[in-house]
Amino acid sequence: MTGFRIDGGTLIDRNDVRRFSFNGEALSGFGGDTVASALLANGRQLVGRSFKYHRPRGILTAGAAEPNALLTIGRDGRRDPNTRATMAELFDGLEARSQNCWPNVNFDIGAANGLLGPLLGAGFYYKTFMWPAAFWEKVYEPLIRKAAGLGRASYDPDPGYYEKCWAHCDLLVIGAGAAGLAAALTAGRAGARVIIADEGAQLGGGLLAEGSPIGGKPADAVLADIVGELHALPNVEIKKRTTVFAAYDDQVFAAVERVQKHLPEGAINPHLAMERLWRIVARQVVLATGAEERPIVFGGNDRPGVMMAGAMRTYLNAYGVAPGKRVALFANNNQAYQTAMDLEARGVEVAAIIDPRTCPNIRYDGKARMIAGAMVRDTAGRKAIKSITVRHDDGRDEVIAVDALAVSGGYSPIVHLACHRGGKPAWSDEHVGFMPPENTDGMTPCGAVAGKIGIVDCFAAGGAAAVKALAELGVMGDAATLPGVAQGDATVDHVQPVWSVSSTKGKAFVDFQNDVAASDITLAMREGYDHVELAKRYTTNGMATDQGKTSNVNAIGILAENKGVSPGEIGTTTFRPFYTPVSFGALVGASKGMEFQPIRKSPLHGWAERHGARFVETGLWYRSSWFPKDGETFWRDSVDREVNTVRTKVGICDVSTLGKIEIFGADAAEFLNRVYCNAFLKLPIGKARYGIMLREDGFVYDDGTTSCLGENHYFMTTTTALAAGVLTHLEFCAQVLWPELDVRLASATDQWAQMAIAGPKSRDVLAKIIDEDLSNEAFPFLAAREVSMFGGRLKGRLFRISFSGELAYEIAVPAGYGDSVADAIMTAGEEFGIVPYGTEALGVMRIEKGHVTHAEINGTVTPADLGMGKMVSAKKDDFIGRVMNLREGLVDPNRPTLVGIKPKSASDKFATGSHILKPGDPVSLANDQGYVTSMCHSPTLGHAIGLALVKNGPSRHGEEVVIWNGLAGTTVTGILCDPAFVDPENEKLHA
Amino acid sequence: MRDYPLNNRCAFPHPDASGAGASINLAPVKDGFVFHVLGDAKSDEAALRQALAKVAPELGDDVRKSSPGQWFWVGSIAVSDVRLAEIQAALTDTFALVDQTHGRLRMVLSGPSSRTVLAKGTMVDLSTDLFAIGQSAMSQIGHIGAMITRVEDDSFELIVLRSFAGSLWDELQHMAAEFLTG
Repeated sequence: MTGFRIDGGTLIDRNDVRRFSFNGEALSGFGGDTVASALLANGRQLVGRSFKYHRPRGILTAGAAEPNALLTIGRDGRRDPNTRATMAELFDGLEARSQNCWPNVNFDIGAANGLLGPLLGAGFYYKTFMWPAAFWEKVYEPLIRKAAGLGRASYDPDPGYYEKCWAHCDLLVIGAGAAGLAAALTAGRAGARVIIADEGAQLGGGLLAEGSPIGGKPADAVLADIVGELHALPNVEIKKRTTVFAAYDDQVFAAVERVQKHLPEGAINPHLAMERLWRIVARQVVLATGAEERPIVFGGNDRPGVMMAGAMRTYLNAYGVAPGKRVALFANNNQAYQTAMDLEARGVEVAAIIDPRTCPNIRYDGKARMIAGAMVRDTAGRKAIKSITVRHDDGRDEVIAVDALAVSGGYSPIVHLACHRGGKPAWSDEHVGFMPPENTDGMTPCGAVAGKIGIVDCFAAGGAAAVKALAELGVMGDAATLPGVAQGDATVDHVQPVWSVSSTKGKAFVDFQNDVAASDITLAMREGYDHVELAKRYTTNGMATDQGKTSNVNAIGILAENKGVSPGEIGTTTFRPFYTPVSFGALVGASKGMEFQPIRKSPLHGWAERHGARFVETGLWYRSSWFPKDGETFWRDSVDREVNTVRTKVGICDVSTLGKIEIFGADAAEFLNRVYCNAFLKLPIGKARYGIMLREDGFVYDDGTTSCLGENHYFMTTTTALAAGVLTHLEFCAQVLWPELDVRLASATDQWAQMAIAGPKSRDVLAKIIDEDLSNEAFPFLAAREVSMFGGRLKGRLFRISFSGELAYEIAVPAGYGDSVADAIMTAGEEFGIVPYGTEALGVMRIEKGHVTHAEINGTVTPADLGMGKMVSAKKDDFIGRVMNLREGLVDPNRPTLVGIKPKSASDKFATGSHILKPGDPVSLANDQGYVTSMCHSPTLGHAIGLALVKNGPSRHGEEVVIWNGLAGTTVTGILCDPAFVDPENEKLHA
Repeated sequence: MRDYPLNNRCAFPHPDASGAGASINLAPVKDGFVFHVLGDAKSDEAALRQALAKVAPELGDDVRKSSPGQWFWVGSIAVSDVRLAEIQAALTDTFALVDQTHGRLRMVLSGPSSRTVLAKGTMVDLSTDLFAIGQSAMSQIGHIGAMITRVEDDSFELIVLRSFAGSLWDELQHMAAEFLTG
């Protein structure tokens, strides 16, 4: 340890020595230290380099607002760039590195940028890199992008586990300083469900830095009493290290909890989250977020060693760290004087107190020299402050040697959360700051955020706020009684606004993190960007990761000063979430890798796995795509084999993912008749029918089959993709369009394992497991009914429907039995050469048969476009889409209509999405005749085939066309044909 | 006819997720039934309970409201196809009944940490005084739809679509991992 570590420090444990490295140098600190306090204790004032000018930067604050001391902490996947040293807790083995410097923080080549300062003012890149124009994208922008940014994200995956949680409470108290603690205690004693959240590692806020007694007791003892009582209340949940970073509608608040970020690698529990993202639903909120001390804008105000007065007090009292040996204070308010008193009490020399007020109304009996009516004009020193230049009220300059300077320009209430829902803060001349909006709906600001100063006032305000919030909930409570006199409190303050020091000669920074100087703000004004939102964007003031916590109000003040108006007339920029940066890990939570999204598995998934299926993701479903056999190295080897086997023998395919909807009710038939464009009123029991649903605009929405299984009981299948959409559509129709109909709907998709058994031998296979007559007479095409299976051991639903164009059935059994039934079918089919086939073979066969899917039902087609115009009922009074389907444009004979397409030469191939042109027409979309919707290699025909939507297609069968692939720049000669390439007479279906 | 083996396969990847001394236990409900009851516009829960008591008193009346006019009726007894058909026939006047025993699976998450685990997935406030024993809520756990029913003090039954059961099971394992000490 060095001489900067002094006695005291309520937060540190001197028996717990923690070793860490800073830029590779071995250092040590204590348990309870932050990285910032440990660095200061080791005499490290220079910790980083600034964004644009690479100026030496130190530690400005002791909390969340830190703009300068941003470090990269950790290594590999656990590397966190841009970590505020003031918030990072020290642990054994911590590795910290400075950012934005090369080769090192002490000697940084980039500091040469400082010499170019006059050229690098606000908006310099808009003006400087104009010529030659081609250089912008190729040279200037890449260079600027390379230079931009501070820390670098790791490319290694973060091994930590992250999660998201919900929490609920009557009262959420945000901030655990004096006001927040009093509010939580009040509500907790009244029996309310309370959550108190604070971003710090310990509860206490400003109390942690309080060096003076409260009510005659040491401040840390008072704090311990309060926290002890809160811990003992079962209805109070304490969330330390938890930053409430956003306020949303309906009283939902987002918070991030640093669960294990403060632990060394060896102590991390892999099953416990590194960080937790909370969504807190609070009936009422007490906002006790405190106030941020403002810097003052003067020359060299960014030099290491310049620190906020409150931060200096925190390091002194909470961490036992002296910021320097000879310190000056530059303050325009009374509260900051307590820093000087505490410094002196700890034996640190206070060289001078510089106060711009001519008659500061302050009781100060310390040793420091008081310089009233004066300003700090500039500082000097290379990598740390060596002296300050004071401009006296008579215009005289005086240089005072110091190694640290405490600054306090007043206090800005931390109103962010009060404004996230759209409220605008209001300027207060009394408090010289922007106060929370008047209407904060369910949120009661109290304490420093509401303009209170001093611990005792904040205790009282917190208690009163909780009583008010509880009353809104109908809960009676008494404000907690807490010690009534705090020796260190300033009871009356008078802040004299000082937005910038006019006599400054050096660069005077407003926004430290983005290197925005006062001169940049005035430049923006001169160039017409004087609106606060424009000035922000022109200068980038407040646009860094600190979001201008220490800079925004000063920028507004400078704008106001130069325009000769009140800061209230300038107003603030818009407050939006997040209050402080949130890691991507917390935002992603557990949704990464295989947990990125849920996986939906068919009841036949295990069966398909055992048969070697290759799976494809279709939405959340994993569907079996094809089943390779030994020796098949290319997917099409398997698919061709599967297709050929089904066409000549038999195959089994998992179709469980199709949507299945049970429909009941006395008016179910009428209901179906209205949602389908074809007739359903007279569908007999035991029969299935193919149906087309239209949207209201007359285009096709979805297709599928619906079977009548009994009186007032129907069973609808939908496409896999639209299973949920169709049910939602039907519910809308039932509940909103026709509430007078008795119809009830239930999704049964997951209840059934459904298999297609297709091929000329399919009947023979099923006959071995189904107890009923499956002859053409007893069970004809489109028959559908419940059947007994396995000698009465199981009931299933059998449908004689075909997507492949073969003699085919679909058998549905209760999902748990799907695996066994599929095995039984494979065994029964063994003698017939049965194979499992996947969705690829299914797709090939449906193209060969000319059946459509959503490749054709693409939202722009009518039934007539698909060659099914005759299905649209002309007799029904009404159905969804009836009127709009008759629109002029939808009955135009030149509409693109379904045709088959094949290459003129069997060896040619073409791609889905290719456009159709007339031979001889220039290759251009202006000559477009239509496009290919589906394409495959047909193992049955031995060449490529496709389906296409072509103008007046059905009348052009046999016509030669050009198939143009605009992406690949190729053309192939094709021939339009009947879309049913296989069995156009449907003989197989009825076999 | 050949004697083909028929097994009712469990959709959960592992049978038990508790550890010795764990404050959390996750177990599938392997037996019993889940029936989806669809009422007409005038039906209510009292009428349903009355009907169930009359038609199938041996199955109890453990019903969970899933949406207006709809309930899940659950029980631990296996119901045969014949008995189910009888009940369906007897209820048809007011209630349609769909067997969802294979489509909607039940699991029970129990133990002192059960609320903490569920709070990682659902936005429903499951606190003791707001979510009484027997109360249900159709919600989501993470991105997976699930019906949550409080069945005992610290015990919650989850009904989930079969196709999502494995995924939800795995997610709950992750959520509960910090409490699995065995």
